[in-house]
Amino acid sequence: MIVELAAATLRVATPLLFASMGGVTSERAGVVNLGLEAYLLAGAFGAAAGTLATGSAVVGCVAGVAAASLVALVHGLICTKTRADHVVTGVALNLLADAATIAVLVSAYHKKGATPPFPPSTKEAISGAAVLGSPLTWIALLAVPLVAWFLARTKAGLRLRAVGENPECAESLGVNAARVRLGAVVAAGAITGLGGAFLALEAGSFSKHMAGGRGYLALAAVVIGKWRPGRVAIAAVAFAFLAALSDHLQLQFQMPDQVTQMLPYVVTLVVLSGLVGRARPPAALGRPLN
Amino acid sequence: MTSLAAVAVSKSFGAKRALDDVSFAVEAGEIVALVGENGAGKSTLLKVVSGFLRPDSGEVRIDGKSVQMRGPRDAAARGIGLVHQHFMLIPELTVAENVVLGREPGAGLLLDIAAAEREVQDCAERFGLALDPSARVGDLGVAQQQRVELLKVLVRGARVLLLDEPTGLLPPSGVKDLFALVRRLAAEGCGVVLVTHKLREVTDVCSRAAVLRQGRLAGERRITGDASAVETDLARLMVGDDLDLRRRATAPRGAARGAALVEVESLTVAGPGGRALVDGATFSLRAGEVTGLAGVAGNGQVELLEAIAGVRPCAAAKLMVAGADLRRLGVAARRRAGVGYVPEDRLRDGLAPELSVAENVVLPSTRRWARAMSGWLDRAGIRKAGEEAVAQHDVRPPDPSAAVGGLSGGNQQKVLLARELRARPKLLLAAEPAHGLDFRATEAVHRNLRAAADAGGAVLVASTDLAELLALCDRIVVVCGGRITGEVDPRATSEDELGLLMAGAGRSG
Repeated sequence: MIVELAAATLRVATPLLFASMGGVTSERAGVVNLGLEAYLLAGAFGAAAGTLATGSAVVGCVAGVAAASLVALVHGLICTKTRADHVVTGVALNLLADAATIAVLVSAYHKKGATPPFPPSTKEAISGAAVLGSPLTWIALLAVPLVAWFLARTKAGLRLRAVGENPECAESLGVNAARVRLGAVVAAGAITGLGGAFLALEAGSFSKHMAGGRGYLALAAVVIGKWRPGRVAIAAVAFAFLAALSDHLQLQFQMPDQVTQMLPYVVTLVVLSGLVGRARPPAALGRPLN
Repeated sequence: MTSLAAVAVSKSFGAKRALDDVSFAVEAGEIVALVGENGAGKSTLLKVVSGFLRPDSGEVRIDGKSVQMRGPRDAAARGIGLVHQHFMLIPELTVAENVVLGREPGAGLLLDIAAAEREVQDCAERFGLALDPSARVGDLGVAQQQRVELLKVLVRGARVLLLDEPTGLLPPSGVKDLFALVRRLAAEGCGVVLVTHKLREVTDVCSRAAVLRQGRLAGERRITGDASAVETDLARLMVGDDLDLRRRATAPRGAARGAALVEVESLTVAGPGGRALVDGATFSLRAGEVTGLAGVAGNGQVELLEAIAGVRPCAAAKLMVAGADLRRLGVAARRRAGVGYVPEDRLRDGLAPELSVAENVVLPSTRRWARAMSGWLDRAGIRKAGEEAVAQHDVRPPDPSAAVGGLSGGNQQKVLLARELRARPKLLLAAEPAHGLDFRATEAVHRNLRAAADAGGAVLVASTDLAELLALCDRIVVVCGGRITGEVDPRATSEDELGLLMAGAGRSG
């Protein structure tokens, strides 16, 4: 049972980890990222299209990353070239992505709810052996130290943090704040796109509303983890564990799933309302550039 | 050896002409003062010569050659370094990270933190600036943060330093250190421009002064001979001839007699980590008295005012104003009991920048401005209150419907004081009331504080500007490390003596 629960936790954690690392990358540069949900959807849809077109899961992943990056590019341009509010922009993007994926689903595949199923071989390629889990899960786990290292130990990482704290200061030292933010948002799209690809490949098809609030949950993990990759990852895995536990409880004890599925959200509210202490977001988070 | 010159520079913001045909130069090895009232164009001129702004007309010359700068980076590459008045620092980053940002050492994409810290350490040592490169900037005091700002410029090899009101927030010892560094840099061949409106500093360190008035160059003077004559001359140039500088609005009178109007006993404010920000403050104030709180920035004086105003929790054995026990009262009830408060950061804590002058003036008493029971605001009455405030306090522009955020600092402070004085406070608390204000506005603020005392109130002023306290207050209480460490009579105390008292118990760091 414990092995099953652990495996389920990792499976649920994979898209959350990708999305929350995307969230950290973008928010540390000062862009509030509610668009994670849209990136996940774009990633999932892109992966479905790529896999169905070529029969290869790897090509699917690449297509998912490309699609999510493209959506992020649009998002990033809006957030850097205009003084638009980040929160409203992100929510609008999510609604748009939800509608757009359904529209393309209908026009390209003539289906209303989901794409045709992927060839069985792709599912094996992505699910991996039962014990080891999917390769994407390992990449997600690897992304955590990678993002932490990038932020702390690279020139671009320092500039990214500086822009998230005080873009005017960074500009005064010759750093192009708009370019840094745009880069951070596109990177967030690419990372989160892998999470979306995982969703589609694991399910064996793309279905509408596939992101299912995971983008928002990932953002909650970013806040609870105080914008630090390691802590954010712990929060994301904790959410995943609760979700896995909720499935487990439901199966074992026939608890109504409406109740058990509230678990991660209840925990978020409880934790955010004081258990973790005051989180200090990047100082320039959500502040448009001049 | 580098010289920097602005030649016939003009710059407008909308309809406002910030600089009008101004020429100004600094040679290698020279310390030049750039003085003028608020809004005279000093900061604009600095921004033009350091690449932050492009002039509408005229040109910037470096070593006699006309240059086009596309940004501050171009200026830095040519050896021009600007130290901002409001520090351009990132508190979350370390000293080294702040300093090397934009020109980070390391191979390829990698950031070599060790090399960055070494570079910063070397530069800091070369200029005698004690700093820990791995410390978080947010943990440093103001004087040390300024060193980080200086290092940013020095590491980039600046040959001309532009210092925008560098002494505003520094304690006296910090000012001394800063000027020692400035003299040394000049001796090594750097040109230094010192923007200030403290004339004492001009005669102390500068060899020449250029005076700006309303965007124009009002005159230039060599600093020679009798310092006080030079200061008077410069002051005249700064404000024009219509102000009699010898007639001060206020003068210390010594402690008042009579019963205590305000009594504070063992007031303690807890800080982070169990350290007390204010530690057992006990004092009393009498009606008609202006009392100064002197201390190096961050020694608890502002927190003490905040605690009395009710915006910061505190414990006290006694906290009485005109017979009312404030201890269990909230901010609104304390205001009704007669407490007025002019906070340190007037725009953040004192005013609603988006609201109009009139709205700000009536803000704490909106209930009185609502028609009985209806909840509708009495627009005409509010406008009249605004007009009165504008007329009485000479707010410019004289428009009660102007948004407060668009006014100059001095006029914002006038609006804030107008509001606090309307309530005829029994106790008026003011934190750094003249910070960043020019002559005229400072005089107006001081006159108003004195008026509050004359009307039978007690006034308590916290300021790091000792000259201000000595000129304004009837008595001065010295605070250090959150404790009250002494009291002096300003009529018999010099700035140096007061400075020593403030440093008395000597806090580390």
